[in-house]
Amino acid sequence: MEKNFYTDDFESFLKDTADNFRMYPSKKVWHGLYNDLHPGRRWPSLAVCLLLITAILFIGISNNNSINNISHLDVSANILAKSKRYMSTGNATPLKDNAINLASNSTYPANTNKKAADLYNPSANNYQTDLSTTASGMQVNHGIESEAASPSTTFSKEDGISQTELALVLNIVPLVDNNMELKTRALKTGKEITKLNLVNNPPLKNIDINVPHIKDIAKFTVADRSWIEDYAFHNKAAVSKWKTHAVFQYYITPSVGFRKLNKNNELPSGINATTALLVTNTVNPLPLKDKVSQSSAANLETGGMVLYSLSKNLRLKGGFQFNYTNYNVAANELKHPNQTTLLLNDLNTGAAILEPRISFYANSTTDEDKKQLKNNTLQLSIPIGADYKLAGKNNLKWYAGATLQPSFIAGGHLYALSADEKNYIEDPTLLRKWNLNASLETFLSYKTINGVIISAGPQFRYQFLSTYDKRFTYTEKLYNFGVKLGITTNF
Amino acid sequence: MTEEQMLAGTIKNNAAAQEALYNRFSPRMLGVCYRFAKNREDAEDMLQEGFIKVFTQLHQYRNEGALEGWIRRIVVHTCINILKKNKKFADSVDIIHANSIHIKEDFIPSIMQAKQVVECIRILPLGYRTVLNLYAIEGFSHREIGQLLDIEESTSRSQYTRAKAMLEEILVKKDIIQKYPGKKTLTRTAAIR
Repeated sequence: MEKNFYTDDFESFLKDTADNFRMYPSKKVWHGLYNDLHPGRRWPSLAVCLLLITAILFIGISNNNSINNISHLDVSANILAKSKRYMSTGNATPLKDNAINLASNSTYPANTNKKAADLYNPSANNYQTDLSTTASGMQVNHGIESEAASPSTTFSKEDGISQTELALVLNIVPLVDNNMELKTRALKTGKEITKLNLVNNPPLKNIDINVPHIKDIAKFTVADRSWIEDYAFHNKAAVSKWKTHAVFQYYITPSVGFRKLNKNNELPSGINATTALLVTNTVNPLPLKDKVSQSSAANLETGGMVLYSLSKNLRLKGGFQFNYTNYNVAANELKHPNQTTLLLNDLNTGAAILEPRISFYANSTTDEDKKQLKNNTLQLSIPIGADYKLAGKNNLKWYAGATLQPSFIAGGHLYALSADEKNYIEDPTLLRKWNLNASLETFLSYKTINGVIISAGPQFRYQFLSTYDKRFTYTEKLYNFGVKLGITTNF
Repeated sequence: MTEEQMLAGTIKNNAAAQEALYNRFSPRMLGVCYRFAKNREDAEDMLQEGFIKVFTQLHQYRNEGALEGWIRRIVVHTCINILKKNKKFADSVDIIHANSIHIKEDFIPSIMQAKQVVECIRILPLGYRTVLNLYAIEGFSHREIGQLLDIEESTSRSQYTRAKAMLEEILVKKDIIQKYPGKKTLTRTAAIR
């Protein structure tokens, strides 16, 4: 740099003047910086979202599975077993044919190219020897694609599976799925039949197979029907004891949110900094609740939980819950941002310290540039609690319940009061990440004709720990009053 | 939070320390960026990029000289790098065209004090104001400016001479400074003082 830089009056004037010039950046600059410097901090919220989606999917799938408790594959396997029992009683005679080789060649031998009707002759109660398919000569790889290299894909007498059984499997398969990968076991020997990959080329359901479909019960003989009914009777879906005691509840609770604000530390009286003078001279003697203008706002809670009956009157509950908490504070948007300070706790010494911050909002409520600052949080909780039946029988019951809710704060907006109580500072880093909530509720539940239970009743939710972390000299406790609406179904 | 705590926390990627450091220096640094930039949005982009470099390179700071000076140096270099990405910028600093430029009275903003001067600097053509900012305010030499902007040292000198003359004219017209006939010295008006 040139040493004689300041020799010129004009240059000196420019330097002095320009050095005094300051501008306050908008908050998006810091947000952009923060996101660049801490990209990993986006992950918790993303992970929680994924967890929520996974939980919803899991609940959906498990409900679906409970409806279709016995899979189609199990049905086909059971049919095989039953068919053997059926045949062994003399209703049908397994044919003593040579092994059926599905693996060595993907097509049936030419001499087996007969009508499928020949396979099964109900009137004679007899099963034909061939597994040929359609009149047009359906190939095996239309319906069954086996692993050619695997010896276990060969069905032989040694495997103990008759053609009849295989024919039954073929009969069942179109009920399942044209693209389903079937993996089952040879029943007698325990050997695994490897993949029977049912491909859709063309779909089996479109092939003209004259074998009576399992659904076409009218085509079966009395003996067949009798066997099917017997099968159905002895193969009822097993219902576990757990499922008889447990139900699942979806719920939503619109509510109104409030907060209680207290101060937990003060500036020491002997502080000598210029900023401290500024603060101590301007402290407003009014109670804290009169220094801020705050109002309630709409909140929402939704989730799902498992209710498990311990006794006639008591049931435990636990689940996963999402909460949106919200309240408003009235402020004025500043045309030019202000430099201000936050009063924070020094976690090492416990003393109150001042930290500079930039504020875009004044804690005043003049009509000009008035704005409602939304203080909100997104919480993910695991509610654990119990319901007690107070009264009622049959379809209408009255319960009281309570839950404790460890909560993760996934995000939110926080406007903190400045040290001189004249400004609000948006500072999401002050948000406490983990909190503990509790809820008390009472509700009526009504069981509808189709077994679904509808419940509704008032709920109170309280946040035990402050919304702010330990650094901030204010303590804020949130609480809500709402109406909980729930739908309860069996698993 | 003391400067040492801020430095230590920022090096450890502590968000609170980073924010404290940002809050302390960002207003002045945005003022620097604003003198180089076309508008406030561009200035904020420069500031953001500059502070990212500050935070990522802070471990290289050796406590030699003021922290503000170190940060300012990084921010100025960031501003120049961003300006150089604009093709028009190279042309504007390389062509000496002061005689063809006339400052209209309407262009001069009527803003008070420091901002008034800064706004007057920003009226200057891009090449002029960049050289003037670097030489007169940031303290770069013409050789350094030549290297920084990829121009001849002599070009930097002539750009600065003309920029200075033009700025003087603007400031006199706005009655921010007074020029006494026959004297080289300038005095500030009461408004600035």
